[in-house]
Amino acid sequence: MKLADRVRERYRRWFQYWLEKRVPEESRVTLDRRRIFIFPSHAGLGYLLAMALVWLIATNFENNIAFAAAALMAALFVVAIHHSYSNLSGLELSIARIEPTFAGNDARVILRVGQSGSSRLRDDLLLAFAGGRPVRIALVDDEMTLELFARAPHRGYFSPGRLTLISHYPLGLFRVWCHVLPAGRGLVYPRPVAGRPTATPSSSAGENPLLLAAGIEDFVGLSVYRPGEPLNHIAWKHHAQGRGLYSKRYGDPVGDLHWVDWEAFPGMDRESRLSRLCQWVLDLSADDIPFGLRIPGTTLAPAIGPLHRDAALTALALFEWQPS
Amino acid sequence: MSLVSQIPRFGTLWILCAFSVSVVPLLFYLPVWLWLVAGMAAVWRGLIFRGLLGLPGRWLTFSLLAIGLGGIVLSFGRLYGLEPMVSLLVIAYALKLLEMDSRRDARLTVYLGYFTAATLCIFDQQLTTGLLVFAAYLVITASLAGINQTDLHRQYFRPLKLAGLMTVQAIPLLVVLFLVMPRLGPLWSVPTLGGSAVTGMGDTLRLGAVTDLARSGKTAFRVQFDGPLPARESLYWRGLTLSQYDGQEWTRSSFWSYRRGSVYWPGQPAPGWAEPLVASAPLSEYQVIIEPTGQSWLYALGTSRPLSAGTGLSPDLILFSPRPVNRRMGYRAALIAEDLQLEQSMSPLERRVETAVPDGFNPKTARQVRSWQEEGLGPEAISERLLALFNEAFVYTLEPAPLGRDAVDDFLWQTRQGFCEHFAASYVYAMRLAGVPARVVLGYMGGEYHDEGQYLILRQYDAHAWAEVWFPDTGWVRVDPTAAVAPERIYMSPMELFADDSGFLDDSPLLRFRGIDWLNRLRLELEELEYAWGRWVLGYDNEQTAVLARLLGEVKPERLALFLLAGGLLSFAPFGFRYLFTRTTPSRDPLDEQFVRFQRIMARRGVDRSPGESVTDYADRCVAHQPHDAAQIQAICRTYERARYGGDRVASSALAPLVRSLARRRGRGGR
Repeated sequence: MKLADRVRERYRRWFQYWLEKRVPEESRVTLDRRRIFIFPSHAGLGYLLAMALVWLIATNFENNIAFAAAALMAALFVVAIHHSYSNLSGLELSIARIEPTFAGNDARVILRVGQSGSSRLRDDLLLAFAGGRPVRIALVDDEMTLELFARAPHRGYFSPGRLTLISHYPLGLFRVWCHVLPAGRGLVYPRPVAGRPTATPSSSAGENPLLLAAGIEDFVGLSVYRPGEPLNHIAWKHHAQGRGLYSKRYGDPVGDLHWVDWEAFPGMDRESRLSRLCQWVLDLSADDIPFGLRIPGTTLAPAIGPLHRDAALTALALFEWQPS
Repeated sequence: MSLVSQIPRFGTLWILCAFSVSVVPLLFYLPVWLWLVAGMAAVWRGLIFRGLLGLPGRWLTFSLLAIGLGGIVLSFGRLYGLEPMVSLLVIAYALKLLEMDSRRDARLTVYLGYFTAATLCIFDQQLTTGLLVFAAYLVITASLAGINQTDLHRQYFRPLKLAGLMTVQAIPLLVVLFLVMPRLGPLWSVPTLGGSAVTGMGDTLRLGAVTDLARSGKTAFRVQFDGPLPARESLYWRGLTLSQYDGQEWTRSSFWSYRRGSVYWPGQPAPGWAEPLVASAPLSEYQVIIEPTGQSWLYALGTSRPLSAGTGLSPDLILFSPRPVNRRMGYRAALIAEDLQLEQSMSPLERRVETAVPDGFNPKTARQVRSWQEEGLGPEAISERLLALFNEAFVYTLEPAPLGRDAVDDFLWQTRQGFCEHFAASYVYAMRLAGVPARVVLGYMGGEYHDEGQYLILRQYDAHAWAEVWFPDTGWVRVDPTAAVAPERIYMSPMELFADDSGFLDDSPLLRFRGIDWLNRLRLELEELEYAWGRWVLGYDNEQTAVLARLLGEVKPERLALFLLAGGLLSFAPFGFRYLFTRTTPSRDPLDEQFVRFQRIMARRGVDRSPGESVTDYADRCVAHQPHDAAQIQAICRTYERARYGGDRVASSALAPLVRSLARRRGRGGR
């Protein structure tokens, strides 16, 4: 690593530390002068250059109209500071909710942006969580919500971290920004990884051996045809006999899969097991197959439905989770 | 973090507006084909805006630039110079407008606009130009605001409103900055205006040239006297003496070029010839505010001595500035005498310069002068003969007949009609033939006096040419041959003389209607304003020290800093008000406010609205509790719902009177 890079890295870490100390977590952040930073942007420097050129015209041609023009540009520059500042000042940011996601994906954060006091149009607000995609909005009314995405690398409870708000309003001459830490907690499920169980735990065997997961190998039965199902699954014989349109269901014999069991993946480490269990839960839920969850310390009785699926995923997400 | 930065659509529209406002006034000073360039760029951009055309490619842009450069070279024959450079700037601006694609490009275009608009005031410095530049800056700032806002709301004029607000807020600081900003003087020499742009006198005289000026009503300079105004017939504003004649053109002799040591500068030890001038007490003092001439000489009355630093006086009593006058400028001078007070003696070299005539021209005049000399006439007598000749048979006109190679011969013995320069030049030529030192003087004669502003205004049509002759016993004296042929020219303004001539005052239409009283008053008011503008804004350099001293008591750095701070604070005042006086409670929608008032009335009568209760339910409950007001209550709730959810504007204005009428009714029953 070159020296410059090292210095930069050191500076970055120091800045991070400084920000963390400075930016406290709050449930509703109101922007005021302690949080708002303001500095001329590149465009602002360009503007000053243009102003200097006008001033040169004024000086070299000894022209007082051009002097007034240069003075107007300078005065506008100063006035722009206030407009930039008042565009952000009084904004209120809070996290309405965070939708659960899987580790490694982006979490969808619903952010509420409001304003207190006299309501005015707040234009050109660029918001982003650290590492997330920025979104540009204008706040026209008292309040609005918007979706932001924040990177969620690990399972467990998750907070989206530092929110950066940047604006170049009104003339683009100043970059006004603030770093805030709105409080909000979301869940991150384990990263799903596909994998078949490598063992059939004895404890759960034989309780319902006939249950089959959706698959392609064995004929299981008939169900009413729904548009969109493969044509080669249609029971044409039945149809020919005038008994209606049915499609044939196939299934794979996978043993007693209604128990999503920790012991089904012996020899794996914790995270790998959780990832596979997660995928397993998702598969079963997608196929509307009732299942139970059995992991050390937690057992969920077999059931079906999105609430059950979410309970199972939550249990997986929080299994032996410690805040980092 | 950033997003792909496209130019907001409104931003593009405003940039187009800014382009037109800043370029169109400039085009009047530039070659005609630039109208085509600017118009094409604007139309093309408009088509891009409508999605009918694409952006020009890189090659096309470069070829257009090359064509533009070629055009400039063809038009001007050079690239250096003010007009060529501004033309180039306009072309660059137009091309940038055409090819801008991103927000960055748009910003650059806007900055070019600020610069281009400022160049306008090099060409002209009238009050209207100042207002034009100001308006252009307003629209350019609007375009800058336009490219920095989101397109989420369809309000075309929001950028302009914002720019207007910001400009108004900027004014206090602008004024303070303008007052305080140090005027350093030129850092390097800049190209000056080519001749065509400035109306005014050139430094040569060719018969027929002053006539053009005589048709123009533009202001040349204004004068304010501290003492009484001299009589009109002695208001000869000397500009330049022309002592060299090549048969066609009168030019300034190199003999009088401003030699070091021979020039008198105020505040410096006077050279020998100027000592009597400095020693004598002036009759009065006067201040001149001169319009840009692009020339270095200034105008002064009779025998005058400059008082302003940086104004020189040459031995032939010509006031001049070391640099060409390219802006409106002010200077003070002391009037020593209304006639000429120059040294009586004349060196042989000077004599040779002032009597030289080219050989081989005007044989008839030469013969006539020789015959007068043979009659034994002295210099004064010859002069009288000439003036008598003018008086007898000559016509004073703005449209004299053209003259041939022997211009003086043709004029004196054939056409016999001319303007002041014809008479002056012929007179001087004839006197020189007689061996009498004589020279042509270019300047202005008379002026129009403004009672209210107490100043004299000299216009281009007051331009005049006369002669100065040296007689052994009197020295240099002023002789105005025009007075011999048309004495009214001296006692009347050309305005009255030529009012019926075609082409007279084509450039100043207001002057034509002096007869109409209110129009004349309006014109005088406008001129008053223009004078104040010239004195306090354009000529502020001359006043800066005095103004600052008056404002600050004493000009010290810390006082200047405080003054600047005060201006800055004044600009922030509106924001301060907002911080101090905004209510912390969120302001309610007027509709809700009325409904809350209704709820309060009902609560006083014993019906509280429970949280989450719908308006209809609440109304039912109120009606049940207060049946005698049922109609009112139901009307209020229905109106509120129609206004709130139906978007009925009429209903929203009807709510307040309904609530008020309910409040006036006394609640019966309840508590």
